[in-house]
Amino acid sequence: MSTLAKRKVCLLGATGVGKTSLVLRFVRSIFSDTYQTTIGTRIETKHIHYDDHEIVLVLWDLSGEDEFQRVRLSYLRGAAGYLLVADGTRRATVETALALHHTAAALLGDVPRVLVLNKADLRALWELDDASERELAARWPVFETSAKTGAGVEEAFRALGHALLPR
Amino acid sequence: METSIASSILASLGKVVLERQPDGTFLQRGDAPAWFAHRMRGVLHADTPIRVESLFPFLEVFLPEAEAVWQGEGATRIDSDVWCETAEGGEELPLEATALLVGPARLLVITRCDELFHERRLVLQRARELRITYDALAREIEQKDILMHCIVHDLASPLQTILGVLSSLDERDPPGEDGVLLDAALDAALRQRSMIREILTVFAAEHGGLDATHEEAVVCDLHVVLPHVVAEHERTARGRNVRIERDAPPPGSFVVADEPRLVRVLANLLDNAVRHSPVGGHVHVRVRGDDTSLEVSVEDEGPGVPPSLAARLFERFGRGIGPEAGTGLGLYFCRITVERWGGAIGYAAPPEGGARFWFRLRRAATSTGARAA
Ligand SMILES: Nc1nc2c(ncn2[C@@H]2O[C@H](COP(=O)(O)OP(=O)(O)OP(=O)(O)O)[C@@H](O)[C@H]2O)c(=O)[nH]1
Ligand SMILES: [Mg+2]
Repeated sequence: MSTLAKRKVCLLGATGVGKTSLVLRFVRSIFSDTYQTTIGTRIETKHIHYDDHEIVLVLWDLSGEDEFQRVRLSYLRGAAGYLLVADGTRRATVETALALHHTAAALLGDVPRVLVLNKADLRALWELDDASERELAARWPVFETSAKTGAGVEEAFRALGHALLPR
Repeated sequence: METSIASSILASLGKVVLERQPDGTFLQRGDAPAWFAHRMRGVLHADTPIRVESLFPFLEVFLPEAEAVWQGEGATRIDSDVWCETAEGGEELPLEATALLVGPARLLVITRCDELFHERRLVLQRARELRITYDALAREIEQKDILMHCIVHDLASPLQTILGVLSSLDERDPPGEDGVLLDAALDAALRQRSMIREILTVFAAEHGGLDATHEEAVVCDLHVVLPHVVAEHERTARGRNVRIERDAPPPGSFVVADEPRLVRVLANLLDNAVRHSPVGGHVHVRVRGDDTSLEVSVEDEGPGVPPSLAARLFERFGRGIGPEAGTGLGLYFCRITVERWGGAIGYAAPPEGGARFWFRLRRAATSTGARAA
């Protein structure tokens, strides 16, 4: 009999990269083109089933990092892993994600994490070239996702969930 | 009686009061606001112990901070940040928690804060949208710049051929009117080449061609550069019957600037002055200095700059677009170049008419090479 493990996962990234959209796509299969910035924190849960395991991800969708507001680091307390989100059409958001990774790693240690390059449906506006994506992929599990079409979203969350399964 | 009024006031303000028990659970005190009662549906008794962190996972990160208050360490009150739950029907339920120590009672007050939430959203949303639009525009401008750079670059290669052909024809020294026409064509082609170079230089300067580490290191002597540039312009000026008069900066007038670009800055200002001078007019080049800087000014007796253009003079295309305005990048180039050396540039309309352009450069303490020589 497998016990139901609950795992807190934080979504970290610059504002407007699609953190909320990814959560809503993954948890409720919905997407909206209108931008509604997240104020404070919003928590959603989702059960993921693997062959002979099940896990509950408690997803902490935090307000994004920008010049108007910093991510509150105390919110990382108790996180088992994190999902770094960047917007592939805005190169600078990758830098923000990497900076947040350094802070998170200093607090949480070497916990499972994945890097998500979102808005993959906007290929024409993509600002990351193959070389820099390969370089990122050498250091991280990297997923290209589109919260809009749903491509890659399930895979990214499942991969992180899998790394968090009790051993 | 009073307690019951107070507790219904709190409930109608959307606040629920919970008291922390020694075992870490909470008991509800007073009336429950509607949103909380709704959450607690199915809980039979009002005095059922509540595990708030299960009810509101967000509180996991707040309770350790609240604990400090309840232990009487330091502050007697602490507020959480806003968090958002999903209410029945999917709408947002923004909440905020406060931990208080009232006498011996360790209280956790949770407040529904729609107004604060919507106000904050209004401001942040607008700020963030503007930021995103701004970034998108900046990116678009950069892409257009790159496109322009490519186009200009491509325009230069056939021009090289044209110049080559014209020069070899010129060497044959054709007689009479052919020679005059050829000279005119050669002049125009040379002018076109210098405009193209100017655009490419601006592009290089904007996109990191002038690096900061470069600046301090490079020093040049106005005593050498100024006469040289003026001499080069005297020929064109004579063609328009304009006379250039200049001050002689003392030897060792070292400034922070690199020579090829300083030559271009000076050439730009002189070009403009000669072009806008009336036939038979004078252009004055003056040098003034103090302990820390040297100022060069170029004055002409032309019509001056219309006040409507003066404010944007050093912007891109600040002189408007037209044959008289050249590429529209000359003064812009001067400004970004001079500013990168830590200097300043400006325009003043002298009361007696005409135009006066000036730039100020920092004095270089010493020029090791030049002094040693
Ligand atoms: N085309 C496209 N647009 C997306 C995608 N994901 C999100 N968006 C849009 O990007 C904007 C921002 O999305 P959000 O999910 O609100 O971003 P966020 O990271 O939660 O932003 P903050 O809460 O402000 O930090 C919205 O207009 C979304 O519709 C995507 O995969 N493709
Ligand atoms: Mg969000």
